[in-house]
Amino acid sequence: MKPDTDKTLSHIDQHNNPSMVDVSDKPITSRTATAQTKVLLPAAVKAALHQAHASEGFEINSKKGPVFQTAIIAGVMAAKQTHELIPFCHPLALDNCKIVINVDNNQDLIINCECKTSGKTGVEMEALTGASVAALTIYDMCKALSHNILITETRLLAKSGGRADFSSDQTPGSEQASGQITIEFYGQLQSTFSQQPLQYKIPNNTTSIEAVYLDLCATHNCTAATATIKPILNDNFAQWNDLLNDRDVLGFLPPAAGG
Amino acid sequence: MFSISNKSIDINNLKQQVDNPQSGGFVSFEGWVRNHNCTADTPRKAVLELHYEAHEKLALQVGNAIIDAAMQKFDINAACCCHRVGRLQVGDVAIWIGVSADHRQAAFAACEYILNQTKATVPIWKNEFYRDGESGWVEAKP
Repeated sequence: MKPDTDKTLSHIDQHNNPSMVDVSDKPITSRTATAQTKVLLPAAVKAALHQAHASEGFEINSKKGPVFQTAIIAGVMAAKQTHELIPFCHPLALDNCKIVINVDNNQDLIINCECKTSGKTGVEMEALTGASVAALTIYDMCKALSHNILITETRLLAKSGGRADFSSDQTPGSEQASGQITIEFYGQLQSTFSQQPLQYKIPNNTTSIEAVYLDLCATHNCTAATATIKPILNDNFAQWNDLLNDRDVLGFLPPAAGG
Repeated sequence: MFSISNKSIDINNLKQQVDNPQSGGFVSFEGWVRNHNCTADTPRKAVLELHYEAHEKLALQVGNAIIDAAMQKFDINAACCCHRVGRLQVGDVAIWIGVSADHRQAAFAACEYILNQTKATVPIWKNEFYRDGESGWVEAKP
């Protein structure tokens, strides 16, 4: 995608000071925005989800109560307060806010938040806030099981009704480079994962090493061991939260066992 | 110096690296491939050979940092360590460590320190091949 060179930051005035956008002259239109966030679950939460599927249906009941129902309520409440959180976001009356939580093929959660209004300004910030706070609530409700929950890929899927409609394609963050990385496993990790280097597609360049590792653990049905395994990136020691780029070579080292 | 070798370790050459006239003591350690697996909670299994694998670049980096740390930590004159990789038969030398010092105490302590640190932190792993045809990666020992 070509960069839009004539786009400027709308919340900064000609003196470089922060400012609200004056929408007094804008027409009132019907507006919709849908945002999505992904919550990558560790094994302990996946197990609780699996158990819930088997017995009560689609809900995890934590000590604090039903996880998904609480997250939906929290997301809607947050969407209604977006203008209080984001400095130059206009207050607007929401006509609707709908949050849907789904489980994807990797047993991770996909939260969609759709907001509607009739107004002069868009509702994408409300949709993004609703999805984000629903995700944070899931974290809060499940953190007693594990803190290894990763909130990731919060993005706008679509918005309409304004001056510029937007629709993302299926590649998240597609304005940034997506890419392919090579993953190498050492020692006993070769028997858990793969003897050969693995080619792995990263959706965008905000994908962390940990996100890839947790995904691999989920698809190979093994328990994540971020405390003992060391990640390496392009033949140097790396951190779990380091981000990946196209053509990176990622490696995982199990605990040393030489001598 | 820390080195990785895919051929039989040349002990005489390594010993010359730590030989110096100011030293009054020399301590060396040889780790050998033993003919059985010795995990505490499973029955002994007869071992035919071991395959050692390393991330060579990082093994050299971590290994040399261990040698440097030992030179700082102990009153020694020289230290070196070589680790084998590849296929090793029973009786082969898997690791050789040599330390020279003015006095023996520091040489003994530094030699054990280098061995323990190497086993715990240098990215090298071993896959045991048993007489019954099975194989298994050896878990890190705490």
